Amino acid sequence: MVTEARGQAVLAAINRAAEAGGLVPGLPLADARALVPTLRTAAADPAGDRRALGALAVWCGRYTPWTAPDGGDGLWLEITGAAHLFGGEAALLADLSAGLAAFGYAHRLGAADTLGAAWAVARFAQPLRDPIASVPAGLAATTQALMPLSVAALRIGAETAEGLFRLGLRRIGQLTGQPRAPLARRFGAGLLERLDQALGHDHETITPCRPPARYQSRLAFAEPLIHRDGVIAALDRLLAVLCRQLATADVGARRLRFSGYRVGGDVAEIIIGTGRAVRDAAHLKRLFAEKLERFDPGFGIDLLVLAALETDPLAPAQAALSPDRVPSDMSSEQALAYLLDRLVNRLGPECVMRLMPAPRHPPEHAQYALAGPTGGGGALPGEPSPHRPIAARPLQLLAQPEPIEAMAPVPDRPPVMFRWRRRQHRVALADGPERIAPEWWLEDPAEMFSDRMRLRDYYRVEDTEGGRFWLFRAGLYRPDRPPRWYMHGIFP
Amino acid sequence: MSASLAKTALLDDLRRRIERLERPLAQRNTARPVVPLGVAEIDRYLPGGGLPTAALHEIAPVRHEGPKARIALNTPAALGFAAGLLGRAAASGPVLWCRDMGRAGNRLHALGLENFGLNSNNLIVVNCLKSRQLLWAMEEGLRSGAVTAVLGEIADLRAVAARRLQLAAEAGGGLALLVGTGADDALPAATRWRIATAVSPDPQGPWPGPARWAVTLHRCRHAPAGTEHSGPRQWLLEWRDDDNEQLHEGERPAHGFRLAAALRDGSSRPARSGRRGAHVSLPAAATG
Repeated sequence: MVTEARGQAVLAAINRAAEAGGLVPGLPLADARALVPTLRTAAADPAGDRRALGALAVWCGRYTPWTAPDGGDGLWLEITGAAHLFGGEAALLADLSAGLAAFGYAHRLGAADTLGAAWAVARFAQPLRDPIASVPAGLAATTQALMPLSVAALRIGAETAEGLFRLGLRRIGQLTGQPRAPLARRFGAGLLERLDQALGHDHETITPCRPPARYQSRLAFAEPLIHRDGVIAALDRLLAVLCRQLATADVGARRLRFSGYRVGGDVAEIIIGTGRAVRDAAHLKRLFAEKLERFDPGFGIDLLVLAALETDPLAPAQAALSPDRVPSDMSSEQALAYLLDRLVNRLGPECVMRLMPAPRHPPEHAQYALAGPTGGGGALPGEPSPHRPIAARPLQLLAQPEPIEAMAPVPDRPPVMFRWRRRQHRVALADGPERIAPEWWLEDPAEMFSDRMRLRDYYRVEDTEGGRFWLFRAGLYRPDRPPRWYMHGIFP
Repeated sequence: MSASLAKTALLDDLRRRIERLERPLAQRNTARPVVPLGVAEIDRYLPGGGLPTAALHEIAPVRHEGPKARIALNTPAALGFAAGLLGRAAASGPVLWCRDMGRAGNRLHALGLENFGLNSNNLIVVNCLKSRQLLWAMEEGLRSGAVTAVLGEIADLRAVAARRLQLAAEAGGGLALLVGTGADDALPAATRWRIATAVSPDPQGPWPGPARWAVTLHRCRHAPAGTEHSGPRQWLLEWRDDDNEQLHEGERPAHGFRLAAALRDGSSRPARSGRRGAHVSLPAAATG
């Protein structure tokens, strides 16, 4: 792979065959071509590489949820506590190595008690041809494995490593014997920190690229699943397990993620959300069912994971005391919440709303759209809203006020006739004007008299055929300019 | 001989099953709750004294053969009448209003909805981008039984979709109001209404009165006995919200349909040329 550096094309990455031919990364392309005339090159794509590494980190989530990319060419996996699921650490590493080899990645795995030791062992432990380098558990074994490695295996910068080489300190073993204070003075505290981390005297953790969910259930398959029916059956089982976990902890799920790890190396996911904490497996299954159509098993799924990403406390349901009284299926509030969940999951949260009047002057802004299962904050049923204007308001407002041609013989009086959408209307009855002023506290005072900010005189008119309209004149009547009229709403 | 016996037994069984399926809806209706309009004159002609729940109802604007734009006036009127019905149903539970944002260019206004008794506590508005989503949302709302009525603005409804909505309404027990222009006679609707605009009568004053419609009950299934032969009935209906009157402490505004004067020839119409004086119709003066 070729990339640009200092104005000329240099090699960024090479494969084994090129390495055998004597090429090294960083060699200018011209020299490389001179050494190996049959060289094939392609432009390096660092962004694509990062994405692929991220996807690989997600794929490695099948082994453990604590995965993170490391720089541009490595991955961290925290396998404490996950090894037993795969039959031991050695089996897990072998499985991972086989999987990566199947994807075509040349790789080297290092496993150790500390992050620093794992990094060192993966990149520097001899022989380099072995795909897996594992360090036995225990501090002593870690220290022993690290001794013969080069100082550069400590994740220190190039200058620090150079400095150490010049002093004659080439191996980690030589470094441990040195007094610490002069080293800190010469190279800074970072060197000692790295050394302590590698040897296990200092604690270090990775930040997973995807925070692990506290409640999750997983199901692995020896034979990859190909049919959607199998996925649905597995989902049933996973939901049962997860809901039991939630019930034990007295929480309900608000967001759930269903991931299928496909054989091809990518992960298919469905995410659903609910308006209230839910533990009901039947309801959750219905929410998933609507999105399962687009869930493609690909060449086969070998692991399904259902995780609760967000949970809320949910009190346990009261069971009936006597067995004679059959509890009603579901309270109407719960039924409404379930219905809203289904609507929101399919149509999107911005499509399902409650409308509440807002204390704004312009009618097109005079309402809030509330999402969510409860109205909350609105007027009590039957009472008029506190922001209710005196004059009537239409049932429908046009999306934008539409200009109309209107004829009003006297200023401040409603028009006698107007033309809207190519149809003539003669006004029989009219009410108004109702003056709606612009909101000076929200707008720039310099724009008070601009066209955009005109006040509006609204009239409620009824034409000779009974249609009722809400139209307005923009701005005060001025003798030198023809007034501009707009249609804004239609009364029922 | 035994073969024919078996055949008659089978036929009898089939006949009994068909009879059970075809049991008149009216018998089932009296057991189900109804949503009355609140106007005795109209409720008289509805089975059970009101709109039967667990059924479809079609509300369509009147189409005239003449100028095309008349439907543009009657469609908002139909929507207003449907909003009134929805307001009546909202008294007993939440209601759903499903719109197709692709077709309806207008927005619902919260203050206008409050006139009909629909506010953020009992109305949920669902804006769908496609008509298929609209039908799905209506079906979900009806089938769940969590809402007492669902209003859908549907332009044209095919028979299969209508049948699905009816089954969903029967399962959930809610009222389905279909507002649209696609007046398909094969629609399995319990009642059909045709709405047109109606002018305000002059005695109200020189300004437009409350919402007013010329409402025609075009067809009604299982109408109460004695009313079937009358054909389509027509009324002038208005919606009063009485917010012009002073409200005493704790009093609720009275929402509801009110019957206006029945249509007579021109006596409730104002003068055509836009004169705004009071118009009084006097009976023919007696001679003498």
